[in-house]
Amino acid sequence: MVAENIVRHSQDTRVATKPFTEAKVTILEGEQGGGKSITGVAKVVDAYHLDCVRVFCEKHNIICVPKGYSPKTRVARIRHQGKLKLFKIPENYKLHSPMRIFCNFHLFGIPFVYCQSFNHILKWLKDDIIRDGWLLIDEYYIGGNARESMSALGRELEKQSFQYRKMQLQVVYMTPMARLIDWTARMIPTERIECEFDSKTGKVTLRIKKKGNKGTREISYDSKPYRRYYWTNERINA
Amino acid sequence: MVEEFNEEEFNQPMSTYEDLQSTEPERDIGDEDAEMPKSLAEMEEETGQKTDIQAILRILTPKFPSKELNDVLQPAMVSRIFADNLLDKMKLLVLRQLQINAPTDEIDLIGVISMVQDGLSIGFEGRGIVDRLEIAGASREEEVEKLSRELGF
Repeated sequence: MVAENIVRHSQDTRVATKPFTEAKVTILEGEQGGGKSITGVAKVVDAYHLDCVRVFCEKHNIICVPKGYSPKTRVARIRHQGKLKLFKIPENYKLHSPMRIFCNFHLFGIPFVYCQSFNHILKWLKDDIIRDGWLLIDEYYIGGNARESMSALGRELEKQSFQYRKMQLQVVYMTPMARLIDWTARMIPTERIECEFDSKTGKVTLRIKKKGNKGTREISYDSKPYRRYYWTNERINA
Repeated sequence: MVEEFNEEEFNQPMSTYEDLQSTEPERDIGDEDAEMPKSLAEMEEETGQKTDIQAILRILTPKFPSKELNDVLQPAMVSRIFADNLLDKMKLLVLRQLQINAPTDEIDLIGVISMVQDGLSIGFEGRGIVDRLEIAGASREEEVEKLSRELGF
């Protein structure tokens, strides 16, 4: 077992980044149709695309991560030496990122692992399959219900949740109300986001509260470009 | 007890992620011609983290379109402008703006009068200072109240 772990970590340099100094857990709250699922999708899709188009050029000593990327136009915005530059990625270039994404709903257009149930999530967390990546859990109250927090599944999920930092996982919980989920899961998040969807404009307004920062900031984004990446009516299994 | 070394086990792939992962094509949502708005990541980056007090102070301290107006009105908003001095000061400041912008003949007279009056009214009788101190005090009280609640007092 020890030997196996050594191999796993030594081969994992492709995704080696700075170790997390804190758990990166986000809780998304919002009423039904409030834009919480699409916000979770938007976060992971943006992260994936930005990871795809990192720019390295040894000749010109350019190492930068783009500020923004449009998958439709394949134009990336990078800041290099204080200047904002745009560049288009050729059509024949295939975008690929080693980013690992785990979801309990289906994503379209980016590679991911579908977790069929909360038991799968728990097993894969324990087996060290879910690590070094993103874990999106929609309708978290199903597996991590506050009233069922003393069930076997609830207790095990709770134990695993205290080691997300060690697993280098960015976790996103989606729930209509934080009170519906287990109290330990309410304690862990480092970012709390309330979502509100405007059906007329298609915009989602987020009120973001980050741990350690005073106050709440409000941002609005257009949800339409992200609709192609998930199906809004997908049911979540227990 | 020494664990027996198993070479086969040692060389097994690091995880089954690659076996489990799947990619499905993007869904057709029928708006191919639509413009690509800014992504969530970009919006998040553009919006700096502001506290409530910073946000309200930004609203209470307006920025004016010209440097000359800002140079004069920013200090005026946190000064004490007495009632018998307000109209004179306003007249002088408007005249100054007219003198500065005279060669261009493109001055918006009503706009200048309005901006000067707005700026001076904030500092009228030291109201600007009082407002800011009240906000700072309210914020402090809120913090103390929150702390008291958390400590169970």
